Amino acid sequence: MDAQHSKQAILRKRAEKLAKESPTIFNRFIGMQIVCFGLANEQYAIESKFVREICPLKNITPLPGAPSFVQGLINVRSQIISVIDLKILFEINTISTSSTYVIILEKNNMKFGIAADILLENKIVDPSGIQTTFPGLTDLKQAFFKGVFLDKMILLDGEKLLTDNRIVIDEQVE
Amino acid sequence: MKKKSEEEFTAKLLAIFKDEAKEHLEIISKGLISLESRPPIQQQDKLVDQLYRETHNLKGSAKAVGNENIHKICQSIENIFAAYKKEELVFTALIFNTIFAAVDHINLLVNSAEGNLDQALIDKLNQLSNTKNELLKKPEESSTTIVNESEKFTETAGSLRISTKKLDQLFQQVEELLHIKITAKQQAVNLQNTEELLKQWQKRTKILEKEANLFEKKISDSNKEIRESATPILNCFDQQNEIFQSLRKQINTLNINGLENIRQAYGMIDNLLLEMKKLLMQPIANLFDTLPRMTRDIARELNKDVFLEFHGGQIEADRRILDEMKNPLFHIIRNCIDHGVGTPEERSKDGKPAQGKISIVARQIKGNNVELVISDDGKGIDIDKIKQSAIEHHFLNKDEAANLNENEALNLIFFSGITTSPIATDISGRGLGLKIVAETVVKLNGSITVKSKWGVGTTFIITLPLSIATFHGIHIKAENQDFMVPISAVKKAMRILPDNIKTIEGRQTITYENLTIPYFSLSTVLQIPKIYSQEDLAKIVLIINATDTTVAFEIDCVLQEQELIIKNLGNQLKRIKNFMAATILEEGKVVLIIDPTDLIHSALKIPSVLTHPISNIALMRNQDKKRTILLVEDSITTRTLLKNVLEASGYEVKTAINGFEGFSILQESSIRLLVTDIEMPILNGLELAKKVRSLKQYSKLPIVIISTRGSQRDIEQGIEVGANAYINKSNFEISSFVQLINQLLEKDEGND
Repeated sequence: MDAQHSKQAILRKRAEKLAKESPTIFNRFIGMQIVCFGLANEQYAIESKFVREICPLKNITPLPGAPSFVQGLINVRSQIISVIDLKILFEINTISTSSTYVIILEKNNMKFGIAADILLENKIVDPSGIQTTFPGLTDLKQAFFKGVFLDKMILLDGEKLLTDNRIVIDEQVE
Repeated sequence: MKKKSEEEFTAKLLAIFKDEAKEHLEIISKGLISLESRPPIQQQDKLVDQLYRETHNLKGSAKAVGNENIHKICQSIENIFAAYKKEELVFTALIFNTIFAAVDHINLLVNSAEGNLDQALIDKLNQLSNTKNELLKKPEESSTTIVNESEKFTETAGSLRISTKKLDQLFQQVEELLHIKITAKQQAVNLQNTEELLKQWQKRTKILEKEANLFEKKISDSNKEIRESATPILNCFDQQNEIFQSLRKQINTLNINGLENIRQAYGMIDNLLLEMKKLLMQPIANLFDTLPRMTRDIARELNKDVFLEFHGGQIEADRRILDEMKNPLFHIIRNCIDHGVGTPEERSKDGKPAQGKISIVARQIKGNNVELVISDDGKGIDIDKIKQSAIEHHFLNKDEAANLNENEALNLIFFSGITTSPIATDISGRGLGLKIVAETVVKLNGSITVKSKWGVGTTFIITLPLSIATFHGIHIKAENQDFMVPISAVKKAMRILPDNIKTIEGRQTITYENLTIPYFSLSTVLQIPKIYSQEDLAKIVLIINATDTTVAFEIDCVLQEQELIIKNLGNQLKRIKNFMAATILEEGKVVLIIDPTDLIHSALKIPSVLTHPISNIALMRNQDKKRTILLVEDSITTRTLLKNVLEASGYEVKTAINGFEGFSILQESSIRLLVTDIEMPILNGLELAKKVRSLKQYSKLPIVIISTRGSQRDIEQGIEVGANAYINKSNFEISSFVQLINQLLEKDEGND
């Protein structure tokens, strides 16, 4: 009986310690949690709060007749998710590279995946170190880029991607 | 923390109030309309009681959520009903109109949280309830009885309110079970195949057993060494055989039990789905709810007096079907009021009662279907006007129009652009509404027809299923990609030889049930790049029918027919042409479901063809006549382009490089149409046209001038020399050019 009590006491202490520790990491600065990935030979990032999950890109069904930036449809646990190819949307000129992962974005009622060539890392960054102006970009890039990090990694505007009508396909026949 | 939960609670409360208010308002509207039609006096009293109660309840709920504005209006309305009950007032048109306005105002306030209270309206209401208008004799019992079954405001004991969202979610989960059903079936087949393999193995084993016995006998006389070395082999064989036998037994049991389980699961899943579907059923009366109010408003706006009656509101149908039918039904009623029922003056001139009547009768018919019959006692549909409109829209030519029987002509109103109204109004007359109605009905697996008698009235008959059947699709492949086609749209899958594909008017066609129908490759229509094609082999063809048009599509192969669960494509793909949704196969693969209506639209839109089926059939009647066009043009680029375009549309083309050469070719061969440029050496296009027209035999030859010059003066010159059309090269568009040529030739043949 006593042994069990002391065991529980130890566990509680540990739990308390863990619960205290994590905020200190975040408190150093107002951290922004991001997911970094590669497209062709460029590096991109998106805030984790828009990322619902990441899964390998396989068994994609192409969508004939759709705009070319819609790469196709995948099945994620019995739900159909459309996958967008940012390389085509942003006209990233390169010899075609193939994507291996889908980063599924979600906010409110909008949900779709973006294809990533490679996954780099998840990390917490200091948002004050982001450069937010970038002259000489195409309209679409201008609209969906939130900033550039010093290491040239581009931060995408998740909010904008998930709300902009240019991403939504609503075709009428006739 | 506490504050947050309070906020949440308030929000929840407001949402409940909104739903409740809507219900009250609907009942109040319905009651008012019944009251306005002056039913017998006892019924009037009962209605006012009901109205009073509903208003009072609404007032109480408004107070509970702190909505002072609605509370105030309800109080004022309540006063009017109270005054009636005290026999201090009778209802006048003014009172009805004011109460209706007040109901609208409450509706507005319910929907927008910060709506402003219309004080003038309150004042008016109060004034009405205070003016004790003279106690007129209450109207005598009216002879008309109202048949309005939806009027019964039944309150059921032991019922529970569940949000439709929750029900839908539940339904979706139940529907997912279909997936298990489909997978289980596949596994049963796999098990059976395994057993079959084992049976073959057993046959071999028996042969082996015999051989082993023979071998054992043979070596029994041999020396000991051989016998001993054979023993382990034979023992091993015996052991193997034992294991094999028990394996076979086990697989057999598995198979039998598995099949039994599947059979049970099948029954349970099907039953559960059926019961779930029943939960989603609602009385059709719900569909009628808002109609009386709308009828009243539109009739008033058009100075008409319309009485609306319902029968059969108690029949229950799937809520999803009723939801889809709401707008189509609105549209038909609007049409009836706008085009059908005349004004009281017009009606009395025709010897009809001043008040028009629209009736909606719902009737359950065989095969789990419901028939909605919507009829008015108005003017009827003017068939000549419909034909006229169809001709104007190039749906058919005069001869075809004359040949149509009454029924065929009437059903033209379901085509785009056809209207009998001389002018489009904000209510109707644009000729689009009924097309949308028909499309919705067909999408729901129903059908619609119209009957009309000039001077007597119009009747729309809509047949709809009562419940949505589990979706069945045909799994096909095109260019090696999988697709599902809704089985309801597939008439037949068949094999045809390339010889049976005929090119008519630049379009490939085949013959199906004595009809010439267009033939397309599915991959071309869906814009899938073609990888290979084998011209000489037999083709697999799917005959698809939607919105009364039948088209043949070439595919790779038909795999099977199966039940599917429809999955939407998500909000990023709100609507994508040619596909209605997708489904997921057993192995987890996403397969697109084709939208037959879209697909046929897309196919018929492919250039170099006329887009309307009626016209196509008309053209196909003339298929034997090979039509030659003379093309006179000095620029080689333009000449090649136009020649290709015309040939692709099925015409034979002769070319000349100047007017002089053109004129001699014209005289040598039988030319049906002349296309000419203007600026050319030796004899220019204008001179050529003039010369051609001067000869009697060419007085009717269609001439098309195509030129870079496009001023008004140039066009006038073209008309002067007798050209039928003048096309400016800078605005050149292939499809409209071909269409023009087709039309000119059609017209020309009409004159033959």
